[in-house]
Amino acid sequence: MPIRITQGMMYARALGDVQSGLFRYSQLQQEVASGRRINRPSDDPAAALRILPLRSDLRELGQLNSNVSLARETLNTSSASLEDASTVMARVRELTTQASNGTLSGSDRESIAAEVDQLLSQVLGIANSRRGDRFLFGGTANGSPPFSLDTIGGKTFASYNGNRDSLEIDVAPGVSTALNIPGDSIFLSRDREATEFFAVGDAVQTGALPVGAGDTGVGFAELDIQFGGLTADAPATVTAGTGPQEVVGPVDYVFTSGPDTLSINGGPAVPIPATDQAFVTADGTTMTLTVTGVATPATGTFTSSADLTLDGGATFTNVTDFAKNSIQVNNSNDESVLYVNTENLTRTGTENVRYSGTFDVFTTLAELRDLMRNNKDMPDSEVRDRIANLLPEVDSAHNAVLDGLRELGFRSSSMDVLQNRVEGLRISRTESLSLVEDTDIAASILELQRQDLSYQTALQVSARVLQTSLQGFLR
Amino acid sequence: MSFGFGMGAGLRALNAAQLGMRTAGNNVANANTPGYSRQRIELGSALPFGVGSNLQIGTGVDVRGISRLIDEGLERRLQFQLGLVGAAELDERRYAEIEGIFGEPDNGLSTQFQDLFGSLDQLRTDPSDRALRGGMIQAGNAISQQFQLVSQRLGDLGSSTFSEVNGLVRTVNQRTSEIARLNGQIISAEANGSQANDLRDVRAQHINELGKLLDTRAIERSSGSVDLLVGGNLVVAGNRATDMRVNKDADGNTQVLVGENTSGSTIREGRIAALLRQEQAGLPSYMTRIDDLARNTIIEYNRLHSTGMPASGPFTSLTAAYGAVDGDGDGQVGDELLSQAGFAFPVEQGELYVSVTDDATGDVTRTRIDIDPTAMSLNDFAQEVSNIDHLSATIDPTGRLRISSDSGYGFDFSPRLDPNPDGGTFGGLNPTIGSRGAGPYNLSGQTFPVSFDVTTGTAAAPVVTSVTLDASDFASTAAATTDELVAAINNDLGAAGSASNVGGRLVMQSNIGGQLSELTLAESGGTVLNDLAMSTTTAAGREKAVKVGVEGTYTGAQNDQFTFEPEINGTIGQTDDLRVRVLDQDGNLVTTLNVGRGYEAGQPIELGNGIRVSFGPGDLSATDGQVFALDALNDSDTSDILVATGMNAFFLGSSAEDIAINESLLDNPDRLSAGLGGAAGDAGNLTRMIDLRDRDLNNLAENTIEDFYADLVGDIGFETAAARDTLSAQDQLLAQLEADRESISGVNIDEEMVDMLKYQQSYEAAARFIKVAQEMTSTLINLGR
Repeated sequence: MPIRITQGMMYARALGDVQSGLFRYSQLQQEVASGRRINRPSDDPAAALRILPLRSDLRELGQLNSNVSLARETLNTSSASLEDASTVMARVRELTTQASNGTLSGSDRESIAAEVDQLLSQVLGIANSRRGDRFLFGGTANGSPPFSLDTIGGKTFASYNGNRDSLEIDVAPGVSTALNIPGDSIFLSRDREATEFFAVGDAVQTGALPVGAGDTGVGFAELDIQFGGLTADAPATVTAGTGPQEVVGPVDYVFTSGPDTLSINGGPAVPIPATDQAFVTADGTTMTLTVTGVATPATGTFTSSADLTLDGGATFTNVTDFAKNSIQVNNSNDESVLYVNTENLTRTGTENVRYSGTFDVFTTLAELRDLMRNNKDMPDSEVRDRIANLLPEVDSAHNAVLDGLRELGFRSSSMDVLQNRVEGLRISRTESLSLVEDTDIAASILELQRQDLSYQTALQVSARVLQTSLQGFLR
Repeated sequence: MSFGFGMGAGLRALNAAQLGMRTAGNNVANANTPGYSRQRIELGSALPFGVGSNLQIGTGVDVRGISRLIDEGLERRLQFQLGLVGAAELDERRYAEIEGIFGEPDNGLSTQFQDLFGSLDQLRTDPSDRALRGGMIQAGNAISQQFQLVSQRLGDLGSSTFSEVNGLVRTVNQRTSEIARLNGQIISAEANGSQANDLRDVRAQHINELGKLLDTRAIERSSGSVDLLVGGNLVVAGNRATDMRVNKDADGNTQVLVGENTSGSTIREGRIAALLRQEQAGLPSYMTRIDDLARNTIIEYNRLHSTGMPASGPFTSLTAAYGAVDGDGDGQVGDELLSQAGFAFPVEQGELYVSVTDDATGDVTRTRIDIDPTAMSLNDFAQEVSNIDHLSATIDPTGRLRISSDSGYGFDFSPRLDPNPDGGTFGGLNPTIGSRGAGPYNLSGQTFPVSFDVTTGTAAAPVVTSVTLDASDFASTAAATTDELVAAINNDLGAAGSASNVGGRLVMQSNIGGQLSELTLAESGGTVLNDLAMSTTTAAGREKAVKVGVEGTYTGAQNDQFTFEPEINGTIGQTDDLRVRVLDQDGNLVTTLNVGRGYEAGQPIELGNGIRVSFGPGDLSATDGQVFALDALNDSDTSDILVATGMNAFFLGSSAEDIAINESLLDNPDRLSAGLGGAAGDAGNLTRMIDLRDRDLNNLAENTIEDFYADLVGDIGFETAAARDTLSAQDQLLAQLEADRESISGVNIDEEMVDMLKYQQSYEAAARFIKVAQEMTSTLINLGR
């Protein structure tokens, strides 16, 4: 039996069809209007699960993208600073060459010194350069100037108050880069070599030798070796007198009687007793001694101790055991240490110390300036020689700056690669997200038209069908 | 044969046609009345009449009754289906509301989390920028507010269940009393055997409406009345209805009761059932999950923030956000064990490292406090803190811990590395002799008391002190701990020198330093120095200390303590093959550092775990057992006591309901602990916070914060979509059943039209019949004239 149809059923069906048509129609309209297929998680829960991480990724990639830009910008600012420093160093080289020229007078060099001093403060300013409120070369301690120059005892010391930590920021997923180069690796860059002692002009060598390792001083220094008094092993009748004291180290002595004489280190015999008497050694060095009483013939060795100082006498290291091949001498000015071999030390005097390979930007400029000013009244030729000798140091200090520049340039160019990568990731994530959540506009509009058509059709058919009634025909 | 006989049959036919016409009219009139079942007139031929002996003649038509066309089974299925649809409708509405509360994917917590992580990333690019700091703190504030909003609206939805059920139950009561009233009318109307069709339709309509709200069982009595049961309890019996009521059970859940019953009725279908189910299972699970998320966000961020350091450097004073409660009611706070002190977050068995910084020298002293929450009270903890030099801790009347430092000192809980870890036992001026191994030491071979001599002073003026160890100094002589030895030795040594525990090793030092000072240890009657692995060679003092410097950030996953010792004797930067061995806390070799020839004194050497160590110029001695220890911390508060008490917290609160940003950060963004070491550009702590983004958290079922939340949102999406699908499926079933019902009970106007024509013609024919009968009668009468 065919199913019995009533008007109510037809109304209900017609209403239902029109309703569902309208619902789908409005859904499509929302999709097309908002451009998004998923406006609530329940629209497609599986897709919603993918949307949140994708959006989170996208947000992160956006941040990474701006991080990369920031990194490049910061690195470029640092590069610009180092380029300035490089220009300064090139000028310094010119001036150095000029100052080592024989035709220049002392006052000419004086005026060059003024320019070098100017360049020194300029390079200090560069080392302390900022981006915003942050010092570029101070590591993470970038709230205060990282470099300062102090002059102690006529010598200029540079100190680094920053740290060696990097300002790491993420520039790509799993990739971080340092925004900074800690300044000490550029401006205080050293490549320490064996320390040298050298004589100035015709000054006599003391016999002290550098150990050549373990030293921590920078630039030039002067090791003063002074007489440090006689030690306990001296004969009871012999004391140090007032007068020149040039002999340090073991002293061989010969007492003769009748006539009573004393001779030291093979030098001529001198009658005793004597007060503040100069005794000359076979080497021609002088020792002033006071000898009391009468001698009994004897030979032996006593020790004339040495006081070693690096800081102009502020602190001394007293040497009594000259057999030691490594005596630690401290410099209280910069807390540095110099190891001295005293095995062959025989006389007092000054050793000029050159801590090879330690000439950083600041040290080089300061030493150049001081040399040009010639505070120590060295002969012209000596000054020229020493300035000329600093030329390689100027180059190596310049190279340190160039190394820094290269490093920054390398990092900056790798930022370009990273930015491309981040951008690529962003595009692919955006595409994925779009695939998941965006409306396929073409398909949706087609569908919208289809729905429109079927909605219209439903309306028309309903209107036609609902009119149908027996009543109409019976009239 | 009577004259009236034919007339009677005609009249009955007229009546029947009239009734038929009226039934059709009624059907047409009620074609759109909900619940109306079409009626049909039941006709039968009237009792025949005997004519003669063997003939019977019909007497016309009898109206037997007017019946309702319904299918009882279908009606019951429809009623059941209405219950399912009611529940599905409510579920769908509720889930859509919950989905709306979370506001994903555009306006929900996911965006807030992205904002927070984004602001962290941004702040990391310039940690000292005030505006960026403020931005990060605001992001924390926004996330707190969003958590609170979600929690509050979910809570509102939950608490609305009761009033909503109450309203629905009121409707139920109206319906049941209406059904009871109709029962009464039907009983009396049908007492004569007729069918009260329209009353029954109205009653069926009420029962259906009731079915949308809850599931009932209907039992039809022979009297025509219908009894209704809800969960086994009669709510309608004949013409009496029992009201239902609503209250809350012991767990605070809404329940529906019948009459004076004390236990709730089981309701399986309908809107009320759906509401009750939501209250007990749906909503609470989302509440729990959002609370879990908030709670763990608070814990993780506070763990990091409390052990970080603001750019302003170490703290001079910190006050806890949460107080201990007076659990035992003795009027005192702070005397309860930490495990019972009522903190929102548990204190674990673990350790806290407190660093005290001397502002003038920058020297850092680190102290470790071991915490056992089942044996330590807040008072005990405060005492431990106060025992640290330059620190004092108090507990205010509200149970809040307050730590402050002496002027000129600051404190922090940062896991940063101690920049000067050598307390003088490695490169110090005083002559030192250390054990070559870490304790405990086996002294069981000694005959106690056992002595050794300690010679201090200078070669010219030696001072000899005898140290005696008694068996009673040790808990076990087979495992004499370093601390026991230190105590026993210091007791005898007096001012001449001191013993100390350096990374577990026993180290002895003379009280005077410098080149002339000396320290000699000598056995005196025993071999205890041998057992302690200490040299009997004279150790000399130094003119200049070897300065040890440490920098960097430890990147290891576990807390560790590294011990540094020279391999041979020599001068830094000078001696060939002079190396420093680095051992971890288990005594395993981590690395060796070349500090001999080729090493520039003072230059940092990488250890490979983020730590850089530098050694100043000077001499090292392996013979003397020189040593220093360096704490390398990943987590400086494994006890979580800072989180529990809310010291230097980032978030306050403990759940989604009360999570809030620490107000003092809002007031002063400089208090944000962005770094670990206090340098302006130090972003160490931010890095840790950023790393949190990708960390799978144990308490979040090994999910990251964002994944946990995404899962939650996904589940809500699935549930909502499922509820919507269920509703549409149930709706379709209902529509099908309604169509079936319509097919049987619905009015077809064409059909009724045909009926009307039929009855009209039948009426006309009957009238004709009467007219003919009348003419026949007239003919007969005229015959007699």
